[in-house]
Amino acid sequence: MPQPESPVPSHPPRVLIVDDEPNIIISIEFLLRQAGYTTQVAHSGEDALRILQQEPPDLVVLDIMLPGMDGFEVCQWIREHSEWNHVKIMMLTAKGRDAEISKGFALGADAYITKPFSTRHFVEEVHRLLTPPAEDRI
Amino acid sequence: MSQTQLLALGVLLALLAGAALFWLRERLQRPASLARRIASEVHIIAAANAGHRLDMEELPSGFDELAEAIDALAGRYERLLTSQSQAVMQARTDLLVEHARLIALIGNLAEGVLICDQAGEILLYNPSARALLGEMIGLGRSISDLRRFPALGHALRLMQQQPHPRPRVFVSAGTDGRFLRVRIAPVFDQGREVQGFALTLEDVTAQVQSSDARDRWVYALGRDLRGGLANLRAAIETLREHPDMDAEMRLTLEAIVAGEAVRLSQRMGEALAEYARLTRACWHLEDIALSDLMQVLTQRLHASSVHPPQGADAWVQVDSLALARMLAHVAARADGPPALAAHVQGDHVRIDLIWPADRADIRRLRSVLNEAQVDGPAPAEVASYHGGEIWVQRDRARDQVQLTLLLPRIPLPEPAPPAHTPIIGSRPEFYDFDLLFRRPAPATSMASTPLSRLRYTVFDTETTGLDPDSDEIIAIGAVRIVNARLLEGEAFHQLIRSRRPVPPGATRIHGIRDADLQGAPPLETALPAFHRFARDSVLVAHNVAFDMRFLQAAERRSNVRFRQPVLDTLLISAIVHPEHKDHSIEAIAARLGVPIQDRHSALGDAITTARIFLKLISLLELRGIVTLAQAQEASEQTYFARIRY
Repeated sequence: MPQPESPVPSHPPRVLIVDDEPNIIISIEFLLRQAGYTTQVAHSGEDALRILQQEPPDLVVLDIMLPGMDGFEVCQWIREHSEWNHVKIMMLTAKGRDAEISKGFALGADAYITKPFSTRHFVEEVHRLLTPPAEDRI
Repeated sequence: MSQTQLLALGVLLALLAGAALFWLRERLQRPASLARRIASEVHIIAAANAGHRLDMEELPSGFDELAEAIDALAGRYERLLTSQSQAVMQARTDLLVEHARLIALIGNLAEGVLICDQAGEILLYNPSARALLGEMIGLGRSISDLRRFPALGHALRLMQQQPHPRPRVFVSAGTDGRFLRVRIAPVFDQGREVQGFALTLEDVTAQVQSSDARDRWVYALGRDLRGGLANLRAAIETLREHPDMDAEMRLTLEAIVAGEAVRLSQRMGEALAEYARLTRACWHLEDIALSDLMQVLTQRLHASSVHPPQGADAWVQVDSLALARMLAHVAARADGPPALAAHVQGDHVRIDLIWPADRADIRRLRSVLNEAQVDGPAPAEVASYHGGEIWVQRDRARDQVQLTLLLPRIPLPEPAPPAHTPIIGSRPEFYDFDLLFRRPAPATSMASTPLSRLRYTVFDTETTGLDPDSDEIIAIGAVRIVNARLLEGEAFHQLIRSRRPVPPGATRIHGIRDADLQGAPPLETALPAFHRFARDSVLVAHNVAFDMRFLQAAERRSNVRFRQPVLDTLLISAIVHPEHKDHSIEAIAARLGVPIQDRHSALGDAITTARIFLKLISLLELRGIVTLAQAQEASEQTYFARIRY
């Protein structure tokens, strides 16, 4: 697994994983920790909002099909609050139709990955989202 | 006086006496024969051709004045007929306009419409019904005889058995691989008696095929998933249960797991794409231009303003009614009508309903997206079966709330060819309500049925020559007469491939060359088709014996028998005009004022013969020959019947 370029060591980026499938959470958490990120897990949309309000992460990895509030709604909720403008959103979902992908981006997602996915591609996308654009880095 | 002179005188006297006798006989017989001829000419004027005149050679004194008087009377009669028919036409104009509207209406329906009487005989059909059911559909035919869709006859029998039948809907599989959705409903008269049945027909081949395709999809997907999962499971269970296996085996099994996972991922992706395609095919979606859809939505939503759609020539595939109702249902949760906007986004078309933020509560709008409508599925589902998505969103910058519908774009459709050939002539022939009121005679009493109420197939054949034993039929043309009406729109016209070349002499008559017959079917298939066309009718042809001998020679090869009664226009012409010697098509047509159509084309001759036959029926009636049996009997008695062809 390629190691991402070192995030700021004092404050490794935090990733919130919102998914109700424990079997995929195990792999994702493992991959992200290996890549040097800190992780947190929410099993529902409502869980995710509570965590966001307490301690907003740098990235939300968001499934769409969730019990209760779905991933699209969580995404909209985040984007309707300007204080979370800096939070990146990655949709990671089995909903893979073109119209669903367009809807995801229209609602403010920064990346959209459909399940099943390549783990290598997933880690690269996380890294791309959490690496500031070149001009911001001195 | 010499002996010679006496002899000469005797001869002269004998000659004079002979001449006198001959003259006397002529004087005595001629008036009777003349009177019969004049009577026959008057019959033509009265029953067939009011424009006919007694154009006779010099007549004895008295007769010429009679002829002039008759011609003068014929002139007045003809003028009277003309003005009468003009008056009738005038009076019928309004009715005809209404008829024309009805015809245009049902003629342009995409659905097939067909009305039959209680017995299943077709009284009305539209061009779509004809296209759906095939060529053999025609007025007065029974829907039980439709060979491609035998289920129609079955449904009809079920309806007939019930005293108070209810409408039924079923899907009928055709022998040609197509499927029709058929709705059959009883038509009641005022006394609640079943008068007939109304059928609507729709081609659902695409839907049936797509549901068939979905079955195959499920089957194939299940098979592939089982296979892939079996490989995965066997590899993983082996790995776990044998932790001490050697490194090479472990690597092999791990490679299997990785490979199968990738393969399953790919298979799933393909399957879902395929499924989306299949699902969309089974909804009643129509191709519509985005600009047209926007017009529908603007009206339905009473949109306060409309931003002209960008990319106006984009097309979508939608159930516009369902979409409009669904959007109106959601929009009703907002305060006042929305503004409308549409634009093209890549492969999608995006339609936005926009309200000022204070006019629409985003939560109220959202709450109905996943709730079923009173009379339909939830808005999100409606969007989904269009392959689209729907959502509500706040646009903070503009202080607006947007309801967005995203639909897939489709390629611009090809311009559609004109759906139906235009109806030629003033009176289209795909309806005949007379059939509803004039009950046809049962087959057993055909012989005693008046000629004007029988059904006829008037036909003509073209052949390679004159000998039925060695020559062959190479063309059959035929038209039907039902209720004394010639149905030119239901013609049968078929070239037939012959086994022997067409001799140049024959080609000179009918113009058919070997090259014309290249793509034509052989007799073995063409004759049964004509047999079906001619079913339950009296066969009529000019000089029918000639055609019948060829048909009988051909019967052996094609396994059909023509058992129906036969009438000959040549013989009937001889019955009604025994004093005329020329009974060729041309001569009869000229006598009866019938225009000649494409002489020596099988169909043209059949049409001319049919027109002649209709006139001859009236002339037969004047002679007291009314039924089929009488006509057959009279035919046998005529001089021409004794000629053997």
